[in-house]
Amino acid sequence: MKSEYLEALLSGELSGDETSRVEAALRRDDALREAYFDQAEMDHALRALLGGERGACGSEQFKKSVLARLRSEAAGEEHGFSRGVLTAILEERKSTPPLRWPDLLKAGVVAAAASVALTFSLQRIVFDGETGTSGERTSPGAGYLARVEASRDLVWATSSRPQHEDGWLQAGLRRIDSGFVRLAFNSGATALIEGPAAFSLESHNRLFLEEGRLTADVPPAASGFAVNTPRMNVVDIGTRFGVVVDGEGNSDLHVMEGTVEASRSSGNAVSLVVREGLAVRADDRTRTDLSPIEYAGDRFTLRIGDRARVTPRLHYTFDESSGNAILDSSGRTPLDTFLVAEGGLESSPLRAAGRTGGGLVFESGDSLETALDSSFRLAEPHTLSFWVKIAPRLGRRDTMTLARFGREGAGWEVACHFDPVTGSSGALRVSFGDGFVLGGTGLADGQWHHVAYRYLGGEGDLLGSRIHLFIDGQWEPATRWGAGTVRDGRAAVLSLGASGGGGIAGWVDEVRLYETAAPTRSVQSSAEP
Amino acid sequence: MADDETRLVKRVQAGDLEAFGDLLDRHSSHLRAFVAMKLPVPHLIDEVAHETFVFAHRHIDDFEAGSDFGKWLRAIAFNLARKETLRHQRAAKNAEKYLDHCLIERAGSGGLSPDSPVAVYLEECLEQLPDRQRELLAHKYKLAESSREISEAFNQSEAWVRTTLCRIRSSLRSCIEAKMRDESFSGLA
Repeated sequence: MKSEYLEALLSGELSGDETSRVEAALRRDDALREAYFDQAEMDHALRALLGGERGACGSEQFKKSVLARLRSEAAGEEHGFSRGVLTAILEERKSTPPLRWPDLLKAGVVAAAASVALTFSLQRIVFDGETGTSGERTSPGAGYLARVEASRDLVWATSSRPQHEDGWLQAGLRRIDSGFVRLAFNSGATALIEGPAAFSLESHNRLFLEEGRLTADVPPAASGFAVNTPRMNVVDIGTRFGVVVDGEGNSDLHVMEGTVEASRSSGNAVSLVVREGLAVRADDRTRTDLSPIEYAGDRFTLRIGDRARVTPRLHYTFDESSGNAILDSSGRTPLDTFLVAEGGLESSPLRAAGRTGGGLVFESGDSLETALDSSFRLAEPHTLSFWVKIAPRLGRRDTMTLARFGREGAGWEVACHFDPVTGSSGALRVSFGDGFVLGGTGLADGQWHHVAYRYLGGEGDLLGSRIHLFIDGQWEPATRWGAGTVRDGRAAVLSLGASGGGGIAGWVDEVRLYETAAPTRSVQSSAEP
Repeated sequence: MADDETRLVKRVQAGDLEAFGDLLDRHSSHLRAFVAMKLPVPHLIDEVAHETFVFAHRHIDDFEAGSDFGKWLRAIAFNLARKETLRHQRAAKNAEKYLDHCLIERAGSGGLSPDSPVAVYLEECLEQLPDRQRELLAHKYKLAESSREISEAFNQSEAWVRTTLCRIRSSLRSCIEAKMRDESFSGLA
């Protein structure tokens, strides 16, 4: 055989058939095989010596990966995998103070995770530590993280079914034997998972895919959505991408749209920005960079069924130019109301410029009330959203009521919380009786903000685990919460402001009330600038 | 040069990671070339070289500043490559990739010694090549051009490019082996 074929084989310039023929010749001919090996040795040596910065294994990239590992190990007390992912999972699961390496060392966890195989073990420890199948806990950190939005031919493995009748899922490991399921995360990201697969919901914007195939679709508001696998961490920067994890944890990433940041989950954790139309693999080689592979994004299932579309039961745009009537533009049985209620001239808001078109301006003590029909109940799923603008303020610790769904003291209250001690400058606070959930973002800055809360429904000590807050279309983590019991009953009334004092002093626009736990994407679309 | 390197090693021993970066700059391509000749399987070359530098950093206090750092690195890489070969022999499933399997098997029985600065020899041998051959290698390895692109640049056929590359590599190999023989003779003397 001519030597040119050896060079063509080394350079990958042969077709599949030609490669098979040359390899067959190499198997038969010892001398030819030796010649090939001699050529291979020199070829790789020249590549290393002359290749310089070209390609994924350039000198600079190589140096970067070695130094990154040394820094990572120095930070992690010389244990051979990146700290970030697994500890973040543990922290998120428990909603406890951040773990420290010494804590993990005491538990014998870190030492056990020094190899990739044992990293699997740690992940199982993580999975087993919180099953997600037991009773609900009341803290917002332990609530429902995502909802089954659509499915096709779906077969859940035993004990992996959603715990909630509406398809909401808590944290924990789940398996699907076959079929497809699309999960809508509270952040707005969706993950279409193809069975067989094993996965774990880790937070409102993070999923661990142990095995299987996934397509993620991430709107800008959910940027930062993360998919972790046994061998790879993928963080979205606003895009659509696919991940495949095989039985050994080897993970392929294909970016169909936008940009994704990827890194190995252990060893050389140097991150790589992967752009549209490119693909990389993380296999059991933990020290080298992610390997480029052939792009196969077109093989991922992108869609099953249509997205859930919901419309509000009540929608006030306040765009009427004048008059006393406030018209409901939901297109359903109208729930109109009057700007000035009978005998309420002194406590009525005024028309003013809204965020778009018209809006209302409130002084403290003003209120606008709408009588609701009997279908609105306090313990049923519902979502309330609106735009609000509140001037910055200094002063005492207090709460400013923005809206009520139900009567005062017997219903839901949406408020701004001010506390100079903690620095809270108008954080969103949603309460029912003694129970409450408090966000962290300050609303009182003189700018328009879109606020929303979503209750998944149910009576009892469920407030913490079944409520989701959103600010400007983004899921709002709770900074504090207090246990409280949700009791059913007729809501009867929706109020903006509070007539007895302590109500909003500011502007309100685009009020929407849904008789369902509206999908995050619906909340986000009403929050679009 | 040697003094510079000694200073760098001492800085690393004092905990300066940036100094280790400078050592990486100096030695990484030579070390990877050495590993390539010992264990010419693409995905293992960087793997072993990477692990060699990490091992060297962890054991830098064991290294005597002033002695040959490149030789020390080669010795580490030599042992790691041997370990990789043994590990591979235990993992029978790797035999599915026949050529890689044979290359690793061969590495286990190869005669390359860590005492031989083969990358330095390779550089010297490259210097001895005619200009046109060096230019051909630059197109192949520095510019990463395909045989077709090189054939167009040299106004030759693709077959000529491939055959010539094989001949150049064979001559480089002979040159290195000659230098290794000279080295062993001078050692005996």
